Amino acid sequence: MVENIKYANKYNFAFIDEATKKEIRRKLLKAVAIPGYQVPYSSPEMPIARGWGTGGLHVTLAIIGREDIFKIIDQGSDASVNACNLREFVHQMTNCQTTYDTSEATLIQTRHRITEEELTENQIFVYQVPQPEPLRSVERYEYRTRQMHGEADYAKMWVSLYESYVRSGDIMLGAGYPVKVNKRYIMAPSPIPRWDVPNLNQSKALHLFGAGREKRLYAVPPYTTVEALEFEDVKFHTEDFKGTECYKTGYKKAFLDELYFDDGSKHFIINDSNFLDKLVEKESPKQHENKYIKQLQS
Amino acid sequence: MQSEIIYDEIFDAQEHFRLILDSMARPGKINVIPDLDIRMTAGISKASTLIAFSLLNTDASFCAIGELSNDIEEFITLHTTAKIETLQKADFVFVKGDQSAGFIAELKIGTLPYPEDSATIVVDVLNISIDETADSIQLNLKGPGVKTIETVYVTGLNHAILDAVREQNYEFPLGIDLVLTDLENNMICIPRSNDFTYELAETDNQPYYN
Amino acid sequence: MGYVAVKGGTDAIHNSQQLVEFYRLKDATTPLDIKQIRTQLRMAVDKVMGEGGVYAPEYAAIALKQAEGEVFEAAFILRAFRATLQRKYYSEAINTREMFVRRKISASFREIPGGQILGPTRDYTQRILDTTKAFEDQEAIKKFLTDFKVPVNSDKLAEITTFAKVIDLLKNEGLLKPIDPDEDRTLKDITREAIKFPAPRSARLQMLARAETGGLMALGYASMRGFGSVHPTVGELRYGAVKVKVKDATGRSRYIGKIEVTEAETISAGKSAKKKSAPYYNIGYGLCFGQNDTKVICMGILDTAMRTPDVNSPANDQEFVLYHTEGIESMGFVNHLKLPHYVTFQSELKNIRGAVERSAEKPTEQAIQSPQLQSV
Repeated sequence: MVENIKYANKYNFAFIDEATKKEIRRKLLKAVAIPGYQVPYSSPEMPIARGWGTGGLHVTLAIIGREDIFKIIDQGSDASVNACNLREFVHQMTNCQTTYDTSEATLIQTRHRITEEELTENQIFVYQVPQPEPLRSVERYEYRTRQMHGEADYAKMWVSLYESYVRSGDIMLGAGYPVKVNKRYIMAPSPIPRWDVPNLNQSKALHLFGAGREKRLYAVPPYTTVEALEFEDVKFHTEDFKGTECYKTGYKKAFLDELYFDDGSKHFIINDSNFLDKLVEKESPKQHENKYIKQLQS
Repeated sequence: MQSEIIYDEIFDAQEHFRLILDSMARPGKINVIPDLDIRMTAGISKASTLIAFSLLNTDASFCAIGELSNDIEEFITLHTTAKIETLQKADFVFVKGDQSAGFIAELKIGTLPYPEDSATIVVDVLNISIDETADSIQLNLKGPGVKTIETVYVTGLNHAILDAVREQNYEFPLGIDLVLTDLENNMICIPRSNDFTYELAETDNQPYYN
Repeated sequence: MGYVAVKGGTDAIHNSQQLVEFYRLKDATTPLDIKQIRTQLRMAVDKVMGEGGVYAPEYAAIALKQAEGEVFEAAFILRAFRATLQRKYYSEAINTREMFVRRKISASFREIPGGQILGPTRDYTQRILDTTKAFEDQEAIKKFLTDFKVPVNSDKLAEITTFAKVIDLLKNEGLLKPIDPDEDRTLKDITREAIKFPAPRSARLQMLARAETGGLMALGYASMRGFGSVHPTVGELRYGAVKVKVKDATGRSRYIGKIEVTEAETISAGKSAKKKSAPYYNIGYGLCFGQNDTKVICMGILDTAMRTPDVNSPANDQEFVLYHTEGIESMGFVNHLKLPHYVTFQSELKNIRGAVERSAEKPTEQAIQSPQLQSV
């Protein structure tokens, strides 16, 4: 009754149809032209669940070409199961070369980390974004947050930061610390740790953000001012790993994961898997430079 | 797409888009669109034609103004299925560099909640170069995507267009984005976030524009 | 180390995929035939098509089989498949007045033009577990079909044409709310552009048509029960087959096939905005693929509710209703919590530990409950 030929699967290069690619491309140009502003897009369903990187995939697949060398990390690791799954998908759909080496990649997709190794002018960095709206916690309605962005009316956001300080003695925001881009838009940098936030500022690479479920795209062009929100007397700071170091390399100036071993002992290890590999191999990858890292004892 | 055109809708479009994206992300950076042997229509440069092929389809609208604009519109809609729109509603506007600047004020610039609902202008000029040439305008670009300051020299561009663009982009995020192409397939972009200035060459031969 | 770890992750995924197949097949029972699923699990297929947003019963059946009967998952698979299809045409608006009616009821009048036709419905079946279904065989099915056909009068069946609608009766009497000239009547395509708020009714109804039945039911029920004010009368609910036509390149209308849909028009009394002007009836509208009474009635309730914004009632709040009844997005995001979050967690942990250190005593309740500002 059902002939197999009827169901033969054939997909376009990079899976997405050309019409959708063009739409995403046009909107990415707008996103770049208005740094930090969230451009709505159609965001068709992907064979990956919503919330699992569809927005990042849309961006990656809309811009990727045959010559690209693709790297993908999840929580800093090339080995995370979801990163493995998406890498396989992108590879199957494009036949592009994939890599774990940060410096070799031309296109890097990430969930919740910027690589420790500095990005270059020849790289595009694509973020998977769960919640693109930095104001959602202070204003639940989209039509109002749009208005607030339009008028650069960020009073509610500042009040919430202040309240957090009064209550807890610090701005209690963890990953996804809100930033101001090009002195204009407040933007969610996606849930990267605070450690990574300064590395968006004046970066050499182009940063593209895709929020699939929420159907928004945005961008931080290279050499763009990106500032973490802070008060004159209550400053933004990165995660404090004082007194700890990577148990494999002894390195202190990187974002560390906290590990618990079977005997209950606690260890720290460099989160960025490729950076760790390189240090273990005695290579010296060039790290991002920012004032927070500079302050640390090596 | 018509068969007489040697154009790969998937890979050429992708490659050209990446160049446009790179130029848009780095205002003033000159990218060269590869010279493809495509059929052309008179009145629009090859690079601008390829940009239209790369970005337009049935979901986008455009218009052409100036000489031969009807032919250009017909040609672009035939090859991209994009909708021809009025100047006031068009997503993309194709125009020659010597066009008088009045049209700029007509273009859509978006709204504060949705500033992206605005036009992108693709302008054909004679020459874009990092070196000064006779009668060239010196463009100094500053802003996101530019490390300190980027300087390019453009000939065949009515400087009044630059004044009008500056005027339109004064109320950022409202505004229009600019793509310039020349006869050698060079391309630069000036997004609305760019804070540019220009200087005219000190010459008596500066062409006269309306 | 990197390579080995990556290999580990990839292997784990592959093994897990193998295990899924194993669990589906481990008892080596007779493979389910797609046709069986299509016909005997009709309601599940209808639900999957509705939420998947593509009318393709055979593909919906395959998705159900692939997902071991998990409707959310099957709808998601179908939706993802749908996204790979090119939209070649927009159909002309289907005309439900020309529906070949299989079921047509009205709660608002005792008799309606063409009569009340119950059609296939479980409404009046006794919900007693029918254990004889366990022993159903081909013979029993054949016998049922033969017996069923005996009293059917084919001449009478051929006479059935089309029926006027109940709301037309009210409309002719001038009882319906007049068209608001200020209403945004643009026709959006939510699959081609992201919804913007406030959304026009076309976008709202499209979102509802693809929404998850359970989600619609929760909000529709809430509105009726007290957290809202829409408690409508079902003016008409019809289920049957309608023709789909597209315009070809020459502008000629072409018939391309039939689809089955359920449609509801719910009636609620509305207050006029102006004082002293007469009251009127609001019609709430619902339409979905296949047979799904619950869904279209809830669509009707929510369609009405969303037209009168009211912050005290979730059902009246466009953004609340439309974002959160979208089953495929909700399911995806809820399940993404299973992904590793150790970087984001570490970032928060540093804050909490810092706050605990600052406080001489035990951590205050507030410090711990400080809201996570960013969803991760």
